[in-house]
Amino acid sequence: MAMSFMERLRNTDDVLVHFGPIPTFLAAEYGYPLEEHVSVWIVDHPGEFQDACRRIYAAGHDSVQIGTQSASPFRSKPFGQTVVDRVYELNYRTAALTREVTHENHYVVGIIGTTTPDFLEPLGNMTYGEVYEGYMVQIKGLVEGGVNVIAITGNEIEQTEIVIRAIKDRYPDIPVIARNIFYAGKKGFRTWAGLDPKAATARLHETGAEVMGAACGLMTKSLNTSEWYPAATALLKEMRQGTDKYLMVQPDPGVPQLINGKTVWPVSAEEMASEVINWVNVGARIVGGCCGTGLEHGTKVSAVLRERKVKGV
Amino acid sequence: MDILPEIAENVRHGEAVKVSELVRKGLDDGLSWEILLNEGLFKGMEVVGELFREEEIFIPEVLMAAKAMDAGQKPLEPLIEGAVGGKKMGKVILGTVKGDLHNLGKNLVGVMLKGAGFEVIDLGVDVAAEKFVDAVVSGKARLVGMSALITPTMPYLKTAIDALHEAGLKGQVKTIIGGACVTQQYADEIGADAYGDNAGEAVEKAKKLLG
Repeated sequence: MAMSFMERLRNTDDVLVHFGPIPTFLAAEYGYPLEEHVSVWIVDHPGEFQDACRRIYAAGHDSVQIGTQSASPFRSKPFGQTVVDRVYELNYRTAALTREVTHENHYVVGIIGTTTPDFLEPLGNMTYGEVYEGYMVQIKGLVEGGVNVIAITGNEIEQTEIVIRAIKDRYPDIPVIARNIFYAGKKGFRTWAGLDPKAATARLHETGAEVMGAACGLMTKSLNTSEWYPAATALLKEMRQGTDKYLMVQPDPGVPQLINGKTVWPVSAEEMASEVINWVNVGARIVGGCCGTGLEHGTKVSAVLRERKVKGV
Repeated sequence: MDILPEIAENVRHGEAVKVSELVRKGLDDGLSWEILLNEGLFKGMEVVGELFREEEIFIPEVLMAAKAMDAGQKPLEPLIEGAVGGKKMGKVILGTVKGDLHNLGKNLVGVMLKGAGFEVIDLGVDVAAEKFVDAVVSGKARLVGMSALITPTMPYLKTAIDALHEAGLKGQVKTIIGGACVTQQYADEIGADAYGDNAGEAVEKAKKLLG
């Protein structure tokens, strides 16, 4: 039976396995150069992109985040005006390409990145109106291209709030996953602006977004990889204090190292699979990994979740 | 001289208009630009640096303090220009390497270095090795700070350092590198003189390198 994203969350107790890192996956497997604009590359390489999406679903993921985090006017600006002028098209076409290979009970997740080269006034020069209008172009492209959900991740929470306002104004039926990025520091987890997880999550709760989440970030400064995903559990517990809505977590698999010319992401799929039930017990209904996470992480995690469902735990 | 702690306090709180007013008042009251700069503005940024290192304040506060410091420096600039050895700590070239467009970390380092009395020339992002070399030569710079945020652009840190050495600048200029995936080990491997884990540490290491 086909269920929308929100029906899946509301009417079942399924935990969705989400694939976050299209850019690093395309870089590792399809030759996408990380210094280039990922959405321009995707639209120029539709075959490779759709192949990637098919493999992601086949590996056990319920949803794909389509790599559009740089396709806003603000993040496209360093790449030139021609790319800025293509914002609608890049988002539309990426969403449409993903939609073509997405089947029932799988979800296309548009992603908007609110970490930008400039900041909102008074920190920077961006105005409310400019930010609202600029992201609206991206939102329009994503929705008209066929996304089921829009996720937002970024350092500047005020920009995230504006994006959510824009989505709720124009497309109130599109569910929103609102995420902060947290960094482990001397006093615990904080956003770039110093908000703790409870406060930052409560802020996003107020926007009316359906799912509160955390993505990317620094889970711990410890070099012991077995501490990484458990740190995400601790983060989720703090976030839970800020909202009673659905939670999502999507950490990177560690901090990447350059070893003998190759990029190595230190935290393994096994380590994620062994921690995921703890995330679910805190209240995460969508789980996944961010930059550097491979297909194997999703395969192992979805196996653990299937077993849990069978056991009725 | 109460005005100096007041300037420092207002820099710390990002009160650009107030800082500018106080600096002008200081000049009217006969204070020298050196005292206003060092005991007022830079003192404020020193506190900002400490608080940032201790994670008592965060990036937005640092950026607002930097704006306040810049506002305070404006009335002093014509006086500094005319003086000899205005920026006592020396000239630093900053840049994010070729192929990389990330700039926040580098910008924070620039803010902290300025606040510590260095003269900062920021080449921006996507900077080629030749550009670093030219800037060091023309600016007679003593330190180059280079940033690479993603692993594909990290190898270019070595390219740039090699270019500086090949241009015979090893004796003149020190190199310090940074970036989320950069480590002390990587810095040692590629021959950088120092590695800065964050903006605060970068300033401490810069002072040590040039001290």
